[in-house]
Amino acid sequence: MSLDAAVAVVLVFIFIALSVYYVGKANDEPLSRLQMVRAGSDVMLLLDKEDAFSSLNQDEIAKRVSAILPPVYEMRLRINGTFPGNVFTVETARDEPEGSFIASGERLVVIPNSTGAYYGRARYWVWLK
Amino acid sequence: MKKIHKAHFFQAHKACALHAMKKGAFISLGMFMLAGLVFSAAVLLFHNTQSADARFAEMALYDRLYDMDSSMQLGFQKLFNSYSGISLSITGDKVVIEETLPRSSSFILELEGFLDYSSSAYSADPMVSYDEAVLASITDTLPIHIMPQGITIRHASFPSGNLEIEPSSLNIYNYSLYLGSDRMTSAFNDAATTSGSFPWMVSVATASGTSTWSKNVDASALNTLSIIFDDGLPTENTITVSLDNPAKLVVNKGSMQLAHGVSIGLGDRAEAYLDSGLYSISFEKDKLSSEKAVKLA
Repeated sequence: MSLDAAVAVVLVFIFIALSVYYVGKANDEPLSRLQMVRAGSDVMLLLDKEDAFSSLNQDEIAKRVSAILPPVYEMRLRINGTFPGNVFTVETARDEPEGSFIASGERLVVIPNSTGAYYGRARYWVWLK
Repeated sequence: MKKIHKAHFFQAHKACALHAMKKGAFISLGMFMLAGLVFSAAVLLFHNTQSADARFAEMALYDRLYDMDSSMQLGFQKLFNSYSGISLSITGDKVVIEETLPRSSSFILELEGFLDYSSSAYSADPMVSYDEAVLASITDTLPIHIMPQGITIRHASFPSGNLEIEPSSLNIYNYSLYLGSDRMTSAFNDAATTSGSFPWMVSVATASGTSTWSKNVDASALNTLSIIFDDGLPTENTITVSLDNPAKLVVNKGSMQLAHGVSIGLGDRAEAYLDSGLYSISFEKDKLSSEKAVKLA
């Protein structure tokens, strides 16, 4: 192979390598992350509208989360509030993935009760399975 | 002869090498251009993603604000439905409000509790704050605004005072009023009512049954309907229901405890809100804020 061809091949490979790098970067499409944020938000809104938090029972809420969460996602939610115990956590998976995107959000929750309402701050995290 | 043949061979070889070189250069150039094109496309895609990153940050912030606002709205609705003692429903073009007055209600206490909790949970960025003047207005009379008609349903003093329904203009189609008491009997006195085209119906339930009165009255003039409740005791209880311009309805129940049910015919769809400006949410750093009226139904 002549020298000019070798240089051309090297340059082409450099260009292709850079292209692969940039395309790889571009594939971390941020708008698809928004979908994950919104999935978490929708699940929380649905749970709140259904008064799912009123039981304050982790197993019941976890079952409900598993039923409505799209199967490609895992979710963890934690509520800090004025109810007895002050905090409870519900999760569909034990471990969060390392290095991949985790969507998060929060909302205020009101849990009506015969002795007065409980108020809480619900935080949630959603990630791909 | 041999010399000539050799010269021809070298000439042909030289031409062939030149041709191959040209071809090689074209192929190299072609590949180089193709790679450059792919590279340019990749860079373009990358830059597009960079700007999408900024959009993502913006949209995520709007979503966060929406989440907080919708959760507060839902919280207020739950408090209203659970603790106000008022049943408010809007079906089609009809608003129905039902409650017993006077009574005790922990709604105001719960409302204040929720606002205090929210504002202490979010005291920085984001910050939830509430307007004490608006809260005081809600505390006093619990005004419910029916929009877009601009009708206000309030209590002279919540939860003990009289029920008042005040339209901003004569835009109500009819009233159906239901009153319930555990007294023995009731009687209507409509001597102070006018005649007109506004349908007004009142039904009263007592221990002896339900009696109904209805009349088309002039909603732009003062009409007073008296209802006399009798227990067979020397003292009777008389309540008055007045309808004044523009179809303003006041149930003056005196000291009686009465179940109230008012159906308001509007002729158009409506929504019910508490006073606007009760709370606001702001993200100071991003100069983003939201201030909405609490929607009840």
